[in-house]
Amino acid sequence: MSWVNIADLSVAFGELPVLSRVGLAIPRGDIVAVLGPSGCGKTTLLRAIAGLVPIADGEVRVGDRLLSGGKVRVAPERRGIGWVPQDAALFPHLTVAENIAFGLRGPAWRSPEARAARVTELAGLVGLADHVKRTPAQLSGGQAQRVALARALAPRPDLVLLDEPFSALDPMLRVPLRREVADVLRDQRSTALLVTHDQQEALSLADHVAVMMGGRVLQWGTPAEVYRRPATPWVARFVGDTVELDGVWSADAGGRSVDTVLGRVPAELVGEAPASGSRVRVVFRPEWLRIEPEGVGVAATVTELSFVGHEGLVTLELTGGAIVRSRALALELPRPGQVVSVTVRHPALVYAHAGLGAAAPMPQPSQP
Amino acid sequence: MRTRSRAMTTLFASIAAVAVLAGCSAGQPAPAEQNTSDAPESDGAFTLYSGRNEALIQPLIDQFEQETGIEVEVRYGNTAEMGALLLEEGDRTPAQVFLSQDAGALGALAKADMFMTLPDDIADAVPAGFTSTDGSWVGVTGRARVVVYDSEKLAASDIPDTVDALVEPEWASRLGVAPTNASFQSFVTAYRVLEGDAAADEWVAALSENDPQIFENNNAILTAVNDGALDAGLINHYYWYQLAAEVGVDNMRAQLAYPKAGDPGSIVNVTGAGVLQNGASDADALEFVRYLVSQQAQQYFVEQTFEYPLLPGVDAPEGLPALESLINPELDLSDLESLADTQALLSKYSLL
Amino acid sequence: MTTTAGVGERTRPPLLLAAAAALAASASLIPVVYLAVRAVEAGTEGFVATLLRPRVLELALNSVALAASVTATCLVLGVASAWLLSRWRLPAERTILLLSALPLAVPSYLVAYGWLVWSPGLNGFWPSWAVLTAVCVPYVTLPVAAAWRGSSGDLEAVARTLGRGPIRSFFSATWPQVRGAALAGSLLVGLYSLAEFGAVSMLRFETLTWGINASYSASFDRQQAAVLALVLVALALIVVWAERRARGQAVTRVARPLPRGVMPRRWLWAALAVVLAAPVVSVTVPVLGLGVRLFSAESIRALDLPRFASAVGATLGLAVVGSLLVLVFALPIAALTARYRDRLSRGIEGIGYLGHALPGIVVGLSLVFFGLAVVPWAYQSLLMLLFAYVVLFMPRAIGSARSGIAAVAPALIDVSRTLGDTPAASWRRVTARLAAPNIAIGCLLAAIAIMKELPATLLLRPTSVHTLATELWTRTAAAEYGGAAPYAAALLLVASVPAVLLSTIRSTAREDES
Repeated sequence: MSWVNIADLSVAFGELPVLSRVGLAIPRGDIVAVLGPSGCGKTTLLRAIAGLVPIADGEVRVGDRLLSGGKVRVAPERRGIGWVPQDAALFPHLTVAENIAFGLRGPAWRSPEARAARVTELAGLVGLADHVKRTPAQLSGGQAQRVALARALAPRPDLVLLDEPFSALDPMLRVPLRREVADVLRDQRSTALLVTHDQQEALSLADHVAVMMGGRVLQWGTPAEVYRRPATPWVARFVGDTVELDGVWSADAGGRSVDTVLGRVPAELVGEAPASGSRVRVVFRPEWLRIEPEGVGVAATVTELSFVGHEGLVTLELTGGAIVRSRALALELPRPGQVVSVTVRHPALVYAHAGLGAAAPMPQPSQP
Repeated sequence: MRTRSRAMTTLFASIAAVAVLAGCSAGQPAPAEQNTSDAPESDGAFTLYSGRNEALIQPLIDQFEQETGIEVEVRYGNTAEMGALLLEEGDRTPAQVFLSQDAGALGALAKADMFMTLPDDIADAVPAGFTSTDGSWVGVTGRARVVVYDSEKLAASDIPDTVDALVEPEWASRLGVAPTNASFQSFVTAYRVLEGDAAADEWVAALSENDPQIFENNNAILTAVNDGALDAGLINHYYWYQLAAEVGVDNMRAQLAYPKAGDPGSIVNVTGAGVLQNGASDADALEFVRYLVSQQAQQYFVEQTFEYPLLPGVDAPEGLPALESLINPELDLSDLESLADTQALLSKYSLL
Repeated sequence: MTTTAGVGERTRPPLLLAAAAALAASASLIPVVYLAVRAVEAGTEGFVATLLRPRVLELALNSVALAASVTATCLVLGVASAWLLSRWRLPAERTILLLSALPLAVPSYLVAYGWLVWSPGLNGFWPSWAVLTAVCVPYVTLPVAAAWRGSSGDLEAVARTLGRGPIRSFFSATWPQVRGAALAGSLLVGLYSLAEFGAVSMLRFETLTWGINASYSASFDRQQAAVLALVLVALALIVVWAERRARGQAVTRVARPLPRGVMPRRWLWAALAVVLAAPVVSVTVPVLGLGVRLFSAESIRALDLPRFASAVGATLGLAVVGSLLVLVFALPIAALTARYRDRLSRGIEGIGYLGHALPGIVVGLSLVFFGLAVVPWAYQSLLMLLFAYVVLFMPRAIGSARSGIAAVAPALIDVSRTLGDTPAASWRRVTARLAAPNIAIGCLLAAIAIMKELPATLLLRPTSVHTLATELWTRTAAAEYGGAAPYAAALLLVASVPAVLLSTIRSTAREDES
């Protein structure tokens, strides 16, 4: 049994459905990223789990406690769930130490020594031991966010919810802070659910990723699974770069290949099987296409090169006029105008439906 | 800082208490005192609502308390507010006696049947024309209508001895009146009774066309004249004496002129008192009203407030025309029907 | 998702809060119900006939003209003063700020009286306008200055760099940041000048309140008074509605305050004239006038010290207890309307404002009526009087408490809830703490108003209770100007204590300026 179980969770604001039958099963100690574009309902999902918005249907369980579901709606303050909001939201009238100690109430924290020790421990953990006497106004954005994390972790919550905690920060700060936060969460053996619209953040930080769109979870999996085998072309596009081509599915080829402008290539079917001979959407990651010397594969001309230091993204025009892109290491990059050939080094993903995946069956949460 | 929840608890508790008590009281008849016997009893105290000013009345009350040992609890306000208050309170009023600055308020309360009928010895102490016609209240003092004028701009001889002349064009924009004030309305009523409705209508029309300066009350007119901001105005004589007592007679720029006897401008307004229904069984309340029309109290008014005493045999303050020359028994200044006609007349010409 | 946490989720307020707010607002309905009863008790025909009299229209037009012009002037003068006070370095700043709050302490009837000493001929519209404007300006100046002190200067700078001139950038960038505060202040001014009686009666400008008083005093015509008062209520509702339309959804975010400029010397006098106009008109001149009267009075009566002390004590006591009680009623309404904008909440807020537009005598009489019918045991008790203060002055506390509470980020509440706070604990530890300055402003405004209140106090006080205002009235009514002077002075002094405190409160919750 997973530690956090969310089943068939639906939330509506008035008539407007915001979450539809969302399911997640999170193992204890996992860091899960909920990845989706703005307005997909991911913040609402967090708020529903925290008990800050009422749910219409479904249930939320943490450990063996039912928090929401049926007639049960445990108040936010009795859920044992920590909350790190988008803009840190530190209490402006309290010092850093007082902010961290805010939730240290109840029988366990009656002794001032215990509280002080916990504050010191967490301030040290987030690297702000010297800043405990400051007010929030005297902190940088990154520092404020770390205090917010320490504050949420202080009462040892069963689950920590992070609502786009890095989105307001300088990109230079974001990457190291992300790693730091992940380390702190793992250090405290916290189970955490993090909401983000940044796929890099989700993929690099999380043990599992849930991709959301339009109030539904489209895919659940490890970052590698989500990246390598996205449930729909839309998910594929959302979590990384894609090369998308039309193809014709040939069932008689043993179900393992598809005809495209790159020739007949090995294929992996995702979702529903199409009829043989029907048109399908074929998706590659750019790094699945390899640039070879002329004559080895399908001929192509380099039209554009976007260089990002250690690697580059090469745009190629095939002889038929189709455009594909390939990612290559810096050392292997061709020159613009050069005639090369393209080979496929990873099976293409084949989708029966080219749309956003709305018609695709709901992916079920995996049960690790 | 109280918590919201505690605030709400308090709120709910108090509302609940209110509701419960409202329920209790709704089931009971009004707690008016019962007339167990016809003979009024004394309990050594009563409550007075005074529409007259504390500074003027309290010394008299102190005197009364000292002499009789009866304690008077007094609530002061202006007559209009006290009258409205009594009408609102109805038979639940804690007051036993109402002392009013003008007859109109007394008439309003009498019409609402809030006064007991006074015993004859009190009701008849004051001559007709200065008191109620049905014994519901008794007149206590009188105030003559006068013309107040700026003695630096005008001589006494410039002031006409009839109010008819004051609405002539030469007085345009120079005359102050207080049409919302009871005393002015009494004067217009008197005009209607003495000269007829048609003549009164003409006079009010002439006044209205003559750009009269509108004030809220007598005091405001007097102050304006005394400050040189207004040439003349129609007021009651006694306000002048009040101001003179405050700033000194020699410092009075405003002076008084008395219209000739028989002119509507020369009538006397009365102040008065009545005993409320729930004071009917209270001997102390009656005792006080009786005291107001006694020789001693009347003398107090003459000396301290410069008003006309209404008790025959008590001399008017020096310098005032004799009250006898001003008596007009046809007038009932508390007659509200008549008052309503007067108000209709004033509002016809946008003075009200 | 980047929306501020859950605008959409919060459309429906919690039942308990809505119930408490509705209950608190219903206090304001008592006078209106009373008026309706009185207005139709003599039959609807009489009601209609009274309503259609040309006099009613004339009085209403006078009231509207006065309220509109006073509000407009206060808005301009108040915003200008606030801008000077918050964006420029002026000499003797603290003193000037304090002076700008002082007009609040002066009862408008005293201002009118003081001016009449100097110029007895003053009467009509313009003097009434000048006196009311001078008295009301701080209602705009103080909240706007507070809002500006906490607002961002960046927007103005951006607007200037985008090619807007100083005036256009003021309206496109600067003004929106204080619009909410300015409109809330204007609302108070509008309601105040509609309900004002003392000054207009002394300055002989015939408004609805004047007509209401005349109905009581000349004809004991409670129906006519009620009809006029209902017209006043209708006008007040229009003012509340207009303010709400204009206010819209103004949300200001706190950011870097702009460094203040140094006023060029040649502009200094003009700036001081703007800022000090109201205090001079409403404090200096009348105080000097009272002094003159005091010394010219021949028979200065000996001051009855025990009585004087008891009046000071009663005034202070009523103000303290009354303003706290006002707060108890105003807070649920403020908390509700700060967070929820549904129809119910807006209705409750509108009702809560009614008391502000009703003359004291109407509120007083309605509570006499209500008190005797429902709570006779409380009649002529302090409880009743305090309740009248609640009805009359709740609006002053609602507005500022509401803006303080609205400025507390909802995310802070969410965080505190997830950290184990019940809604009540979260209110206490976060919202109330952060909104405390604004809540205090509301409380102080109510305290000042209570100290100055006269007609309701006269009607409802326990018989033995005298306040400075009632004592002052007693003496001026008897032309005892000498005897009145100490009471007038004491009233000014006592009421200026909260006024001075007001000028020192920083409105925004963030006390991060070093």
